[in-house]
Amino acid sequence: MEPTTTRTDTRTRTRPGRIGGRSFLIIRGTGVLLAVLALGHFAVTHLVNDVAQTDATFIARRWSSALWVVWDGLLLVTALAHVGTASVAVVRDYWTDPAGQRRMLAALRGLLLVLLVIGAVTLLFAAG
Amino acid sequence: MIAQLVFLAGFTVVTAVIIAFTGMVAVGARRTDGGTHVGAVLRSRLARRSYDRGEGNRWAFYAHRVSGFAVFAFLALHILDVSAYAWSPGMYDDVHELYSTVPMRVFECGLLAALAFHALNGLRLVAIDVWDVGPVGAARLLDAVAGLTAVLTLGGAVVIMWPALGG
Amino acid sequence: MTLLVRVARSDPGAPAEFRVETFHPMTVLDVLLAIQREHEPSLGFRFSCRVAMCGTCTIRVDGRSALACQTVLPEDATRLRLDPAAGFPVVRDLITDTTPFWEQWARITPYVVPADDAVGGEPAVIPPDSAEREAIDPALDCIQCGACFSSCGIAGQPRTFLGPAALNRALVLIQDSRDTATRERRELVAGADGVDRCHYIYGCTGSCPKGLDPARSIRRLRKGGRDDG
Repeated sequence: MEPTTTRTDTRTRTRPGRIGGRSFLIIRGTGVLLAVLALGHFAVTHLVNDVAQTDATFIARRWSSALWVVWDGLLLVTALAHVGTASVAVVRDYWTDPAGQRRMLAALRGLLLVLLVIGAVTLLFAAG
Repeated sequence: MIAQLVFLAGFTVVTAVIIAFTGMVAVGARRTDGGTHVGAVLRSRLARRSYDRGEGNRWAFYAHRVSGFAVFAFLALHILDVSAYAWSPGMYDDVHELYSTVPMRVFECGLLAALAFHALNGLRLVAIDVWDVGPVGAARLLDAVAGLTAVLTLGGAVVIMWPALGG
Repeated sequence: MTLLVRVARSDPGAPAEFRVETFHPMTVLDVLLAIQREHEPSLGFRFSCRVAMCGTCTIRVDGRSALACQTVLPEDATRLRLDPAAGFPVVRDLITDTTPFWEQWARITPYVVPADDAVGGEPAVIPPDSAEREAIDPALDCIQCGACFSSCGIAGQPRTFLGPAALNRALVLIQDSRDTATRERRELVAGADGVDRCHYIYGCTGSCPKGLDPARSIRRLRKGGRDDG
């Protein structure tokens, strides 16, 4: 029995509206940026340089260059923004009562804020 | 010395959390996902060249979720251990010694796999939205993502493990 | 040929493996009826029309959500595994309580809400070859069988994701020029339970017995669907 099908491959000219909402755009935007920033960061710290060489003097050298300070700073902010926005759907999938969701999201935001502050302080301190 | 112990404790917590999260995802999948059974049937289905290749999309979703969480869990630990540098470069070096041990290097290969897959699959999802490819196109892109992830992971693993295993 | 069939049973003590004589072509519904007739009269499953129109017999065959009446056994099949549809509470054996599906379905106001002045006036004219009909037709034939909902890894009790069927119907009605509830639907679709919860599993499109493409409807909704006042 063949399924009755109305499969027509018509491309309708729907009036172009915006793609998705704000969180949709944030996740995709930070994600694309992170693909470059994070993979690049990993490449330099683990592949180009062996991980044994990335000691304190390596950090001092790396963060005396404006390029890497900006790179790592941007990496920090975009990564945490990406996690914060993308995990909303994840929390909603596994905590199904509204109170539990709010608590989990608040805890997550708290953690991300702490990490942001620690990371920013470390970077600014080291960059002088 | 203490710094190293603290780091190892943190690392254990991170690993435990990742395993717990994966378990939670698996339990949720058992209940709400009506699409797959692990085992011989799955393997044959993944091998089929029909619209059934959609199975790959399903696994890609779970892999994307777990890999994303794993990278984040590591990231939290990483931000903290690098912040040791601001306390004292000596303490940072102390902790950093652990990174070049063989078990940590193996972990790094896993991290690379997770990061590479999540990034490449994420780009695939953006491509699906922007160019409106259908399920077959998505499955083909997934083949490319899986292949590229394997290449990057294997290549990276060679580079990472080389100094520790002979070099 | 005999087929070894494993069926999920609610009662752990009830027999769950059966050997069924096959004929060709044979559907999964034929298999279930054969089991019920020859082996286990207490086996619980639903069916009605037998021709893929009513959407009652949705189950999982070898893990994949499908209509039992429409799924034809491959000629060389030797084993079969049958489970109830996923994401629903199980009433007994293969019978599920489909309330979660209907709850989400009802949320998007699944019918045309005409304008006040349209009632009693001239009939609306939407020609079959118009752009509007071209947009609506591919998505209209949903029989609300729940196969897409079952095969979606996100939709399902106890989550509140609207699900592929509801979102597909929402798009159809948003694009219908006679309807005036567009704004409410779009708010719902853009909200916490709408398109942002879809993660591109494509189980929905892969399992629709009517050949609909809910994933495509969801992609359309992300791009705004039809712009309306």
